[in-house]
Amino acid sequence: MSFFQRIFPILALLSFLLLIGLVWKDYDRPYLEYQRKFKALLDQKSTGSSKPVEFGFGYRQRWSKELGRVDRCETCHLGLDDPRFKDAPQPFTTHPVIAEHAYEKFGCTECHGGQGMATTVEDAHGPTENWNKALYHDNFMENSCSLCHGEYLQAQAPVLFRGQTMFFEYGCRGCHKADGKARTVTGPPLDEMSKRVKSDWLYRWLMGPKDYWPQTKMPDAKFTSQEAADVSAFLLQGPGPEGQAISGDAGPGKTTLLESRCTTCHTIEGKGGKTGPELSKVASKAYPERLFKVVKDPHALWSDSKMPIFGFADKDINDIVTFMSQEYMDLDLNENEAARQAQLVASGSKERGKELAVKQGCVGCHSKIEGVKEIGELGPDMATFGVVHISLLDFGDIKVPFKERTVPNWIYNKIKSPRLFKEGLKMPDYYFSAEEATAITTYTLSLKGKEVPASYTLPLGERPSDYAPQGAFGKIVDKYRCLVCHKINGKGGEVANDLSQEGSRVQEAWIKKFMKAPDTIRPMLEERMPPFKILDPENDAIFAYCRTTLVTDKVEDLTGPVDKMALGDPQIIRDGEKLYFEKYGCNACHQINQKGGLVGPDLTETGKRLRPEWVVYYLHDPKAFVKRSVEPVYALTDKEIQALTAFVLSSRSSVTH
Amino acid sequence: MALHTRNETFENGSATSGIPVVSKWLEDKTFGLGLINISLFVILNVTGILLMFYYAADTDRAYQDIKDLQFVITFGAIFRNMHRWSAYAMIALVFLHMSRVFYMAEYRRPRQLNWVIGWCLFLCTLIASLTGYLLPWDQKAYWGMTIMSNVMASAPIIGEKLKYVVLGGNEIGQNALSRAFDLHVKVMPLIMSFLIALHVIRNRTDDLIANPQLHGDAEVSVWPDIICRELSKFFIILIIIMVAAILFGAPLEEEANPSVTPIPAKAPWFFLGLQELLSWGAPFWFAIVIPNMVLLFAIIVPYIERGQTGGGVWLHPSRRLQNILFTAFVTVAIGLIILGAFFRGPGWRFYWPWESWPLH
Amino acid sequence: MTKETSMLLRLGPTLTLFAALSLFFLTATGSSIAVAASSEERAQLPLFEVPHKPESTLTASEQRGANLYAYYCAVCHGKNGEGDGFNSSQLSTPPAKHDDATFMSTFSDVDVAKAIKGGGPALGRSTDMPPWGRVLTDREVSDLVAFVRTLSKQ
Repeated sequence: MSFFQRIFPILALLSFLLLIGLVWKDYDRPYLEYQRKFKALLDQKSTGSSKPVEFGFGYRQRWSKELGRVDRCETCHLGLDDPRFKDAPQPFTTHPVIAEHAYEKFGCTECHGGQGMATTVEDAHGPTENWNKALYHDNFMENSCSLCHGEYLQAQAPVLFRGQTMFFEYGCRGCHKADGKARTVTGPPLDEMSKRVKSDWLYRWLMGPKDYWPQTKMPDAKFTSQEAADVSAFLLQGPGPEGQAISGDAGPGKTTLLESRCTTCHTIEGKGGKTGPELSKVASKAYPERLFKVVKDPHALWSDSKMPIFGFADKDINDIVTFMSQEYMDLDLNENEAARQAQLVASGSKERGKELAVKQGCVGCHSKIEGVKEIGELGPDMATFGVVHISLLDFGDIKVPFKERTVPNWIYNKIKSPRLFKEGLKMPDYYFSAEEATAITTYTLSLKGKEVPASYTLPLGERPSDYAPQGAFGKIVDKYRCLVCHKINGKGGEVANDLSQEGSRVQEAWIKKFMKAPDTIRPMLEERMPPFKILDPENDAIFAYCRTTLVTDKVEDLTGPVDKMALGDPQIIRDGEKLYFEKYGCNACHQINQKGGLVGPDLTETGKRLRPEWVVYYLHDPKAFVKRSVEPVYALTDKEIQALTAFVLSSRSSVTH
Repeated sequence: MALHTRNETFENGSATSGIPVVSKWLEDKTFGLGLINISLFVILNVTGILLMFYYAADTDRAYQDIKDLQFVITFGAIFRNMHRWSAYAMIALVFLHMSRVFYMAEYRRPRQLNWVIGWCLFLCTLIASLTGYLLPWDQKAYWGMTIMSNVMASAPIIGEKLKYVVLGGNEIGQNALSRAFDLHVKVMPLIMSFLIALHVIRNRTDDLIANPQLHGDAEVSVWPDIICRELSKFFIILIIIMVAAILFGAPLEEEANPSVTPIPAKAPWFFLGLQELLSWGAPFWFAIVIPNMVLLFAIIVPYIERGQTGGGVWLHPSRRLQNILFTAFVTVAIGLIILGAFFRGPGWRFYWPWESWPLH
Repeated sequence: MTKETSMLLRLGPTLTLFAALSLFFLTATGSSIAVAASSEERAQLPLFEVPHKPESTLTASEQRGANLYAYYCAVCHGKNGEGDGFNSSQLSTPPAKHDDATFMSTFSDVDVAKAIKGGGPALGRSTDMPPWGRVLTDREVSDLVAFVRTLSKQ
């Protein structure tokens, strides 16, 4: 018998055993362990019920034909639908309630990422060799919302919305295209810099913008000293400041400045509003001649400036500028150091500066740079960056374990530390915090260039309106930049109140007086409306527009019924007083004659301020106009509304409380 | 039934008596390579059946079906792995089998036709492997096929037409997949079974014709001796393939994505040598002329060989020239594959295996 | 030669075959190997960060309640329920101190929900506390209750 003949029985046996082994290995899949554990938990939770617990071992999958996905997550994630498993350990935890996202229709991976077809943990969660779209980290979960729900998810997906807003506000769009979206103007134009700023300041600014203005949106290009000098030299080409020297009185200047409530928009030593730059060191930055021009007519210098035209007289402006030049100096600045920096700039190379300006993409945020045209986009196109292939992302020399080599992690790190991966990268550093970087990463991940079937789309949220006031009112709004702080018909800022129904709300005499000299309506707010030198024709035009356009029928229709209410009747007023103080405790939040709470507006002058129709309308439904107001909703009867209106609008000379 | 096996035929030493041999150990060993190849072919067909049940040659479904096989279907992962490793092993072992036949000069009269049939079988194996390579519809498959179809397209006159016929269109899409599937599952097994049967039958008849005096007294019974011996070799192969299937998963990359090119795109390993050759010069010479010349030469070797001594043993000294030439051919073929696999990076530039590749 | 040696010699080829097969596996799978780079330590630069959720001891419901509390309640009750909100000095009845465990233990969750929905009068207390029942949904109220409970757990 030959050798092979002799070993034949052994080999046959070995093959057979191996076959059994294969059958066993194939049968005992990893998911069965999880299912056994789950069944044990299920038995525990069902002790006491009469019916035996039904549980079938095996795969579970959701197949969504429309989305083209097969998700087998429920093979291990068994407690998703069962509220009894709220506190169970993963993978059995109940899924948090997120409105109507039924598994049959949506599956899991459309929102969560990962490999739905897999039935082992490593393969399902990813990343693995052949599936780089790993499960999204919790922090970035909201990125999938915009696929179906659109772009205006301020309330529903706040992280995503914040990232979206930041993407445009911080000028990312200046360098990165994002699916046909327009570029927003982020920075001021850079023409005539030599007339505007001092050379040593520009040097310091380029070396570190956040040292001068901590809330600036300008990133740090991490210039070397020589580079900053060169760019400064390039930008500062041209003649120095012109115009007559500024001389005025610092004392009156200080008074005017404080009265004008500049800190509503600007910060002075860190305290103030977020709209305008820091002013406490402005004298070290700008020439007084320039300051004069800015205060007089900021729009002539920068058409997109948010600063209103105050309408000061030239003498007042002289005083203000004199005060600023004397007081708002950088006290930490060493004179020798400043001189040295000025010298550096003076000997800087303009050609090299221009090269650097082009290379760093200053034109992405700033316009009117001498000799530099709009050069289009500098960074990669973001339109489908959310689903970029991992092989195209360069991690450089950094040792990243395979599990962490995912697209979201790369984007997050890139945003947080733009020059992390290699030497010589261009993107400047914004010094974003972890939350900010998370928000922007979430937005970037949402840019998938993908569309879902029509039956899945459900746009949510409020679209920004394209309201643009025309005519005389439009010019006034443009001059005083009302929409920087106020919202009208969905467009504008949220620093101050919504004016969309102001015509129905306020009385003529009051609003005209207020526009000339705004006083405090809400004691709790720090921002205050600055007093503009509104001309009488402008005031009339504003009121006319309010009464014709910024009205609502809901209030106007109440004119008839309100006329019939005897709002001057003393008995009704006394009833209203009782309701105000005793039944409803309105004084907990509102002040009358300096007594009461500070949460809501002061009601002392309401009789002169608000129209009775408005008060009735508002008491009827406080959430009709401002949905998120802090006013509680009482179920007031009509009689109570009448009484309260009468009280609130009365002169209250007889208030006893 | 009594059958003569070759080992027994030569065991008596009558064929080797009087002729000096180079290697006492090698002597006349076949290593059972032919048997191994048939075993692998059987394994491929059996595992292929299960795979065939669950696979649909539709570009929307193909990749998903592979995932289903890998994760859900009973024995899916194991059969798929076995199928892939058997296929790769078969290519290599068919090549070795052919080498062995050459070194022992067993292509001589009356075995010339068998040599040709053997080469046809080798080409069939390559075609079957290439068509099977496309079926998972992953990046490797798609781009590997892109390379190969471009190689075909570089043939003179008929090149573009050939590519069009193979792909069923100008690009790799549904048509290419359907054709690959039909070829792989229906046509090649049929042809190969037929050719294998022919090959084996001819082997027996050629044996009897070539060495009539060997029919001596040695008789071995088919059952249990020969069957057991063959089966045990089959079991060894089966065990090896099963262990490999358990230990090593068959490679699978991401789903085919025409807009993401792997850097660099590489042909399947068994054609890597061709791709490497291609990078040395004009496609016409290096992809069409040279390989085809070599192929032709190899096939007609039995008909053009002048020396007739030294057959039946390994590396007989009288066949020094043939052995050296053939060894050179084998070295170059394997060397090209190794070069293309480990030493080529983006842009097909030379990189040491430990060097890192730049990204852009 | 001995039986063992001859057996060994016969196994030799099989082993060689196996070794060769292993090499082929390598080649087949290794044809697109991208070798990882050797790295230099770049100690000055920030390291690669893996994003992680900030540590929070609050459950999802409690977190929602915290957001609601900051928006509606903190102006009187204070950021941490200490009754020292911005408005608290203006009130004739000081706001309830939610961080006082003894005080809070006299109220059940139902009581707290009642107070939120119906205001002070719902529990026979001051009208300074407004009713939020028509402003908040039931779920928001239960989130608030959950959060208020955490304030007294310090």
